[in-house]
Amino acid sequence: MFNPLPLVRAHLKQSPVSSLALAALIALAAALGVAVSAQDRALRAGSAAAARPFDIVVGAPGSETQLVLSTVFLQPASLELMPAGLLARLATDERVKFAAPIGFGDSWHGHSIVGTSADFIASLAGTLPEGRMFGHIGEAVVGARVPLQVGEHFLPTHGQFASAEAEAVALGNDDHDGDGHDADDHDHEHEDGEPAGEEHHHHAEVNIVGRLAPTGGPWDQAILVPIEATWWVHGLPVGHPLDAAATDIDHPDPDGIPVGPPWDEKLLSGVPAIVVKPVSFSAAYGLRADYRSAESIAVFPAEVLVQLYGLLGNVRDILAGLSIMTQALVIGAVLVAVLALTVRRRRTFGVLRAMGATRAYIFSLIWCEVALLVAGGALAGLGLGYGAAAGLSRLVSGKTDMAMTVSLGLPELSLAGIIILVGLILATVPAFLIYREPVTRALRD
Amino acid sequence: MTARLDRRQTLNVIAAAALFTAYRPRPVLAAPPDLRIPDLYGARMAFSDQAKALTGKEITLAGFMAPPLKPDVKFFVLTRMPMAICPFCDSTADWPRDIVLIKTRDDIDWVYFNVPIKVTGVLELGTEVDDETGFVSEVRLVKAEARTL
Repeated sequence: MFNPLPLVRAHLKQSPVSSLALAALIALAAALGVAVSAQDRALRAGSAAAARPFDIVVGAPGSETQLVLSTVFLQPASLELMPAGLLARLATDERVKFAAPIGFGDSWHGHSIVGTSADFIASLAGTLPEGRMFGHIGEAVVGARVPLQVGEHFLPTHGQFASAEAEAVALGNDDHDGDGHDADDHDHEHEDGEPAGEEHHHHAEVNIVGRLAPTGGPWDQAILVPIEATWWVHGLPVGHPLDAAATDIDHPDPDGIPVGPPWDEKLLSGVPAIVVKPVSFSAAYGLRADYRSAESIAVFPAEVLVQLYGLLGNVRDILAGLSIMTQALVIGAVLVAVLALTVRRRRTFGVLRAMGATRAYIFSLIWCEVALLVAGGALAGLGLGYGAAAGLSRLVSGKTDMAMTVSLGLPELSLAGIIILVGLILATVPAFLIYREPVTRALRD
Repeated sequence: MTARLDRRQTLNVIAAAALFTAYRPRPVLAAPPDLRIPDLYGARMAFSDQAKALTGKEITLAGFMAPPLKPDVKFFVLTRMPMAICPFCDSTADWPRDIVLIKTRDDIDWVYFNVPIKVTGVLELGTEVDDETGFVSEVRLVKAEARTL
């Protein structure tokens, strides 16, 4: 039997537009399926990675989903405070490796300022590649993607506060010396006065003393301060006894206050969330059970995520079903089009037969053409689907600050494989219909 | 003649390929012994003789899937009783010391806490620190597969 490929190539070259159009149809249909599946996996992997440092989250009674979204993904929401003693109880529980308070509320240019403890920062991002951990109130470490350098200082705004303070931040950024200016700047702020209606002491400047390694999660955009700083600016007890400098009426100076555990249970203030690292699997479940009470809820972020995955999975299944139907429709349409195009080439086939080509040759000629179109389309669809999922991921990453890596895995490759396989089988249909035609009838038309 | 053979061969190859991808070899074994979690413990939370004898062997345990501790991982925790979600119960008194860590071969299909499941896997006893989470576990089933009843 002769090689049909030269003729296949010649014909594809002769009608590039229709060939490309047919392959493109298949590519688009395949891309839809590939993109849905790859995107779903990227979203799961990204959110699972973001939730990894959070073993148990304890919060005030309310929505578990809200608590997890606020803590893991730093989505702003107003969370209730828990009773003050809870943090001390958790921190000294023997089943707990560490219990870290998480205090949200303040922000700088859209970056959340979160009060917490050094334990949590170490478990979130490991050791600091740049600078050092905060040592007292007035110092901060920043996430990998916060546009502030070590040595700079900034002025927190409370929530989405006035632009007057934002200007003060810009001024503060020009000052790069970064040391020994604390007291002066404090006084300066006082003279400028605070925006009308501002009740708290949100004027304290904060120095950046360290930068975290990238975590790939939303916390890369956060500015982390000691939880004591969060309490201090609100005029709340800070969990430690105050020294003489801190209680000075005119210029209270909090630098002498220690930060981090152990806290004095009687001097603690409430926090909206506590991240707990248990020592063992059974401790994790025991803590979850014990701290679900009238005054708190305890939840594994995974519980909420798995529920979300369930919903996502349903959406994905619907989209996947639609994309399979699309693929079936497209493959059917392509076959019809091929059939129509092939019928117009009956004369050519007749001439080939008259020249001595066997029926098998005609069969393999048509089959190869259709197979090439389908296989080429499906492979292009893989690439196209990957591109679409990558683009979509970048969009979602931009909105959520969650790193998402799109990859083509077994599900996507087997999807393309199935399309190719079905195409190869169905390609026999036009081949079968044409190859049997008697030479005389083909030549007569 | 050649044509017929060719087509048939082609179809055979395609059919063989399809069968090959659908077929997953699975060794046929004698059914592993059926246990419940309390069977693993003797007096005072010490391991039972039966549990010690079955260490390193494949067993089947019945129980309930506890709420997921981590998403997208290949382990879950098996509990003797469903993790209490009924506000009227207080069954957590002696809970959850007798839990079994299940390390699965494949990705987990999470089922609700109150659906009874059976897990087959190789029994491991003794303290182990999990690489990924740093958590300590005492009893494990590894290379496990779970199914709902």
